[in-house]
Amino acid sequence: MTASRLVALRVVALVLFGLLALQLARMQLLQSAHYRQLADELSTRAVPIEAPRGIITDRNGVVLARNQPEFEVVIIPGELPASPASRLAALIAVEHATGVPLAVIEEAARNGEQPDAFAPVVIRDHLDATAAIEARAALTGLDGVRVDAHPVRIYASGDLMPQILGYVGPIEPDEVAGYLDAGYDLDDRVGRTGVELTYESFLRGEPGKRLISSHPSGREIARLGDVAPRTGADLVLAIDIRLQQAVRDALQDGIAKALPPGGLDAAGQPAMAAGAAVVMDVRSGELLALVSLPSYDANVFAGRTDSAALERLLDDPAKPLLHRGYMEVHAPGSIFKPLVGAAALQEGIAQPSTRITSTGAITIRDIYNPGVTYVFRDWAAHGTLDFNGGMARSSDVYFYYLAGGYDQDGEHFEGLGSARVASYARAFGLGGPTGLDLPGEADGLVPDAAWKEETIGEPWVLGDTYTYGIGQGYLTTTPIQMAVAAAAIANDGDVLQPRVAHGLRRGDVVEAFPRILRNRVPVDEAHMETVRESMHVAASPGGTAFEGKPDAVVIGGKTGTAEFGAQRPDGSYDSHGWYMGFAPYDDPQVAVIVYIEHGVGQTYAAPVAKRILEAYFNLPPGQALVAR
Amino acid sequence: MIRQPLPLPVPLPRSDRWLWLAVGVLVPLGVLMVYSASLEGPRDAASSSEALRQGAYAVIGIAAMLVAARVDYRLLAPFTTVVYGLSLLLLAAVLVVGVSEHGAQRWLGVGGITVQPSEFAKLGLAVALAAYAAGRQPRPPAIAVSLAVTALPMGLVALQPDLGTVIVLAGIWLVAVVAWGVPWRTLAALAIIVLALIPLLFIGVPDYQRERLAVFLDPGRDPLGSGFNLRQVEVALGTGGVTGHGLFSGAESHLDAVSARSSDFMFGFLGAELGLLGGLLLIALLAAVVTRGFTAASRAPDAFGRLLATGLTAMVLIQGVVNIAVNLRLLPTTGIPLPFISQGGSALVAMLLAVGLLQSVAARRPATSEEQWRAERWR
Repeated sequence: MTASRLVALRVVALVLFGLLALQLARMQLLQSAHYRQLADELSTRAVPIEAPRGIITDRNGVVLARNQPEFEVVIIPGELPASPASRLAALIAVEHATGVPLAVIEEAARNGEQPDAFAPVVIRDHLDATAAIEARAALTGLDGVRVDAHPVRIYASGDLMPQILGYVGPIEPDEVAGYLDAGYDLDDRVGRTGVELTYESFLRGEPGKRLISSHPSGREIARLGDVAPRTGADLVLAIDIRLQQAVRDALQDGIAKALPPGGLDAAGQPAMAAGAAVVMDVRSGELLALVSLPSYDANVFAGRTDSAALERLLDDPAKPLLHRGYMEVHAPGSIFKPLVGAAALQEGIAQPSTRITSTGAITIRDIYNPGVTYVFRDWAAHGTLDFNGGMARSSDVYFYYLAGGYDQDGEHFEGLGSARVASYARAFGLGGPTGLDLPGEADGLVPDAAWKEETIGEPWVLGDTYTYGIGQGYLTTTPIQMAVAAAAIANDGDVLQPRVAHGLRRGDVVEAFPRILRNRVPVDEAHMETVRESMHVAASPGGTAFEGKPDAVVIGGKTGTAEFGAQRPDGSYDSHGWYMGFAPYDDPQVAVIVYIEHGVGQTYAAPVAKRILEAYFNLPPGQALVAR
Repeated sequence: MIRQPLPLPVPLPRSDRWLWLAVGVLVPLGVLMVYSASLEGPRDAASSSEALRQGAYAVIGIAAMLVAARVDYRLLAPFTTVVYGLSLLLLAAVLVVGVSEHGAQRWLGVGGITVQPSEFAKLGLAVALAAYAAGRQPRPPAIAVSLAVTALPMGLVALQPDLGTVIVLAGIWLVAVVAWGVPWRTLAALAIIVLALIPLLFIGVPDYQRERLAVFLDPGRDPLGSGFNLRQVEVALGTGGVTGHGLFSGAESHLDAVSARSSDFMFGFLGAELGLLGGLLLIALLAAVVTRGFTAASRAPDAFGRLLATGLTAMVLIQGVVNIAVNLRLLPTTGIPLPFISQGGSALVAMLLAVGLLQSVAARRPATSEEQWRAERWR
């Protein structure tokens, strides 16, 4: 009996396989043409879904840049009703919903038919949520009419730090290839400047995909499924927006006070009410504040662009788009002296006890023509000063000696020489970008004999070394470079990479970026201590930098006044005002640089630094997102 | 003292050559198809790791098959309870410590690899049913016990949930009891009871399975998920024609978006790439395995061997027929892999082990008269 059962099972199995074979043959032979037609009609393609861009916050989680949906009414000419009557009805509905005249809409619909009738044509953009809801209600059910949403970047910090945040915009034609390689779409919006550009790859996230089946013409037939986009990481800046605000206010006041009488510079042009300030954590390299004035509203470039305002911004002679903290270079003036001092101590040129007399100027004879003399003035006749005194009184003659030496009239003092000044300046991070995490950083210039020969075609002379020693002449730096140098003095020689970004936040986790040590200044700790002490004396009663000292904190400081431009009738020059400081003196936390385009260090930059340091030390603890 | 000669090792000349041949074509074909299905674009070398893994499992499976073929299946008889119990234990373990994927808990993680115990549960059930039925008459009490033996793994698998394997287990039981000799009348009565219970069963069926059924009836209903897959597979298969789109062309065909092309929709994928010729070859190979399996059953020297071979053959038959029928739009999507071909290490190893046992049964058939004659001549 069981044998017959097995026969039956075998027969059933063979019949089943036979039926399957028949069905396969039916599908692949008889219905092949039908399926080919179906395949032509139904092609699938993936449409990218934009990932929400990560937001940008300050170190305490205060949102500085966020996304806000913006709506637009679009028509898809190829999907509009075919019959003229219902097509007109649809366009009239659009007219009612948007207020755009029918003629304009019809024109747009016609133009939109070539080359791609299924590409949406924007009829009205920049709708807010309320208007969008109304438009959507009015236009529901109409073929070929849609209300689309896309995110726009909103910068809550307004004009506090527009250059640092940057903006998001369309890909420029000459950069298309690179972005396409990186997986971008032609009409994607990308970070154009500032941290939006630097941290683009983190903020961007990963776009999703929408699988749609489409007609050969490109018309969407059905939505088959979505691969959800992955939101970009949030960027946590090192900036404390409260401090940024306080620094901005202090700098603004300082600049206003420092403007020359009548607001004109030596050449009779309006003087620029401009400046910059930097607050850098000397332990981590993080920038707690980075201010540039004049400024502008960061939202000018975002979505709702007011082209007139943009035009004004681009034509403004004060160049508000330029961040004066890192994009522009100037002679640092006397705040370069601590660097020269450190070099002189390390090279054995000077000891703390080295005494030099300033009679108000030194005179040197031309080496080829002893009849010709050159006078290098000090800003006052200081008498005899030791190292601390030289720094505290900011004696120019003292630093002429340290840099260039003096070998005349029986007096012999060996100076560093331009090569060694240049070498130490570079060791402190001058003469090249600091590695700041913002695009457009200026290099600055640390000159030497070879450079002058090559660029100007003249030999380097002793006078060049003298002006070098007081931070003038060919030497140019950015405020951020000077902040890095000040931090190196404060932290015993670590040249740190300055950063406006603290880290990335994914969910509740903040990953901090690492501290990056770019260089060690080859100066012994004992000598750094001497330099710090001399800056402390400078920032004490009787010192030139005392105006920068807050009441409750002991600091080290140095003023600088760098002359530039044409001479005034009274013999004076326009000058940049600088202040370099670190605080507290015993255990430095921050370095401060103040730069005022028109001003004197002691009179105008120092009080700004004082207000900045007071703001820093009186800052209530943040929301503890990032420990300070 | 005369030592009973161990039935091991036995010469394999009497094993089934046609069965060796069919499996020898099927396994490399499977690895090749897994490689092709894993390609994401033309000449996408990065994804060959999936094919390598499948190849490694094929090697393990072939080794297991060769060992099983050499061992006398009768040695298994005393251990059937252990084998069955072990398969149940693994199924239970999956529910407790298993790895979830796509909403079902089906895998056990062991070291770096994952094992799918339900694949081995099919083997365990075939062995257990054969051992139980071998010494008994197919009377109602015994039939009831065989039902219970089947219901246990079915229940555990249903909890994962894995409806495909439930169907395969039920099919193994059905084929086994037919071969056992259960009267047609009893079978008819059981069939009526089962049909009456179907609406009740639907209560416990998970939503996605109900949805699959609905989608089968109307693919437009869910163009996103299974309906989309069904339609894409259908179009790709239909346009394949006689010779197919060509091996490794999947990425350009309509199957690039089908998620389960290397498992549930493997036959459709194969048919699309290799055309009618490839599809018919595959059906023929599976039919050959099944026919030779039933042949081994009918020539088995004892009832255990006969029922064991039948159950194992049923495993191949049901999975092959259901997978292909799903791909040809004859049945709703069930998630049953194509034997020997679909991606999945546990399924492949279990299948090859089953073939090894089939060979073991085949090799112990009594000699045919011609073989007898030859053997005597050369003695």
